[in-house]
Amino acid sequence: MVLVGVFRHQLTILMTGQPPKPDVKDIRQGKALLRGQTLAQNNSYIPTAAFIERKKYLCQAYEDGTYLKDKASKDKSPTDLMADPKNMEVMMDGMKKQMMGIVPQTLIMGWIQFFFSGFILIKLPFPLGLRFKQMLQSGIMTPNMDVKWVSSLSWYFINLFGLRGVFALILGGENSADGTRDMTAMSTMGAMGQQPGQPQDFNKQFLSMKDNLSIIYHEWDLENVEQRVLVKYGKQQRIFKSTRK
Amino acid sequence: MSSSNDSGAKLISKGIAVVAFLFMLHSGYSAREYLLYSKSIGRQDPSLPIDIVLECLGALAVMTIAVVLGVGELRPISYEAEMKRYSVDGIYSRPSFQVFNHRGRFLHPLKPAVAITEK
Amino acid sequence: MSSSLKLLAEIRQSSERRPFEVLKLSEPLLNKGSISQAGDDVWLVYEQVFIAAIDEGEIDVAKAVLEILHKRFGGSQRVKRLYGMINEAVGYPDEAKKLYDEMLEKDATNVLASKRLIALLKSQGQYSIAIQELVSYLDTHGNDFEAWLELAHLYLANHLYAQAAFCLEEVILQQPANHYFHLCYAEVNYTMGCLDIALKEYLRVVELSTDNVRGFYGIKLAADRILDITSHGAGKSRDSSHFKVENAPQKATLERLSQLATERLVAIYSGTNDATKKTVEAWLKL
Repeated sequence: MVLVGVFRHQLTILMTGQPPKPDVKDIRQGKALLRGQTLAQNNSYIPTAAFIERKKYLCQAYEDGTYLKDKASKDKSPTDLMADPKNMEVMMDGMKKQMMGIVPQTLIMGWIQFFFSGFILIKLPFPLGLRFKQMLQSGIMTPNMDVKWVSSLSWYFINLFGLRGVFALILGGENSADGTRDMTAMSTMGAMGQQPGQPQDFNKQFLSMKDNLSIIYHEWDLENVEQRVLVKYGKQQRIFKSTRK
Repeated sequence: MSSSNDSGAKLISKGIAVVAFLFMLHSGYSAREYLLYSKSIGRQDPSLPIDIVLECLGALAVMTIAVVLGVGELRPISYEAEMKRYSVDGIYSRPSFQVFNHRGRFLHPLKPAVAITEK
Repeated sequence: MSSSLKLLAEIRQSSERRPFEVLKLSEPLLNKGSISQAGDDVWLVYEQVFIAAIDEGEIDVAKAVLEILHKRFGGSQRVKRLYGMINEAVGYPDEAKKLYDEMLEKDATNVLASKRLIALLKSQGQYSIAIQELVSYLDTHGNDFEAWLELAHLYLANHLYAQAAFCLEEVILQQPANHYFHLCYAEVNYTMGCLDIALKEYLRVVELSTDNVRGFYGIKLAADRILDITSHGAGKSRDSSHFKVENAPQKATLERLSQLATERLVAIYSGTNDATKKTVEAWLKL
């Protein structure tokens, strides 16, 4: 089982390959959005004048698309965005990766189904409540059997979860040997909202960030810092109710 | 408190925690035995005798206290305490922008005749 | 782990520039070969020793260490940057620039190389070009607070206080709970004459860091200055037009703040020797 895990890990590494490196303009685009986020988050820590200055600048820049990687794409609709050959490539890449992921998954799952079904493997030395039946006897439809008996498929899954620590030890923390992730991936596959390869529409994000920024009511955190300091150093009782921390 | 003293105290509290845990297991075992017994003599709606409940709760309390006391020295978690570890020099230094074209090289004057290149 | 390795790690994490101590601590480690006790950190230690060595002008040591690093990570961009740095130190800035340019050509997103290029301009005294480069760097990497801090210091070196204040605001936005940045911002504002903002920021410093000496000195200075200006009436005092005090607190509050600063400063210095105490008391006009 350990070997299967290692094999799966290596296979994943082989298939995934390096993610495409972002170029300077991609970074600029992302960081511009990040700057807006930081401003929205920590706006109360700088004086009002400083905040308004930044708000004006960033809102204008977001609206004009100053930071957009491809300024011409500003007015394009999302469908046009997909037609862009580079985006197309990125998307195809994502799809390919997903397909590559599914094939070995089904193979391995099929292999497991084939080898580990329909027989019991071990008997536990201690008694257990009925609740454990589901956990320990999956794949076997005998309602009257004592829970002491563990079916092979259950034993496989128990080992799978138990070996996670071992894999982390031999392959490093971020490994793909452990099949639990595949299972969650399989169950959520249908409900997946955003495809991983889908291009992000930065123009839309910029505009929504602009809305976020423009509705902020700014209040400097230091408006009543005198009182807070006097209270902190025991020079004044806390007589007022502070409105914000 | 010296370190040997400290580790000794830690060991003792760990021991107490283990013993308390065993007591807790024992109370659980007793409860099960009691329930089996009362079922076998056909008593309806059996409630646990007080000594088992007391044993369980007492063991839990002792174990909690022993574990909390046994973790060793607690460290402050306030941001201020964390910031105390840094100095003005460390915060204001910008390591990526360090300049090396300074008088340091005259401390040990040994200018190589050619630039140093990667082999 | 030996104690000197621990000390080296501490210096490394504090990012303080203490090359002399680093070299002194690492010399026996390098000679005896016990540096390998550092485990996975050994390469970080080598890099640290290398930077300390070029800082101290110990080019031989630096070269030896660099060779070890090159043998292990030949072709790595990080090592290439070290080659550039040693050339900066020995006085071949053009060679260094060539190396950094090569790095950027290979990967335009290499932040370390871009930063070295700016530092190189700074070392050659070309402050205005360095500022230009740094501004365009920050246009791309707007969340790099180290670069914002560097830009603030470049502006300060050129007496451009308003611009420096802007940069420090960016730094504060990113790390609002770090009192050192509030302190620097307060000092810049005080220099510009924005006494109201300066006072509030100094107060923020002592709020975040209990009994911060620089913070209390600042409160004392700013509060007394505002009191002085407002009591003489705006416009009458010869230089009050340079100062901004509109948003300053009430007179009673200012007096209490000034008094608090005096009290705390006396208390902080109560453990020091007599000469220091006398100097402080004379300054506080006790």
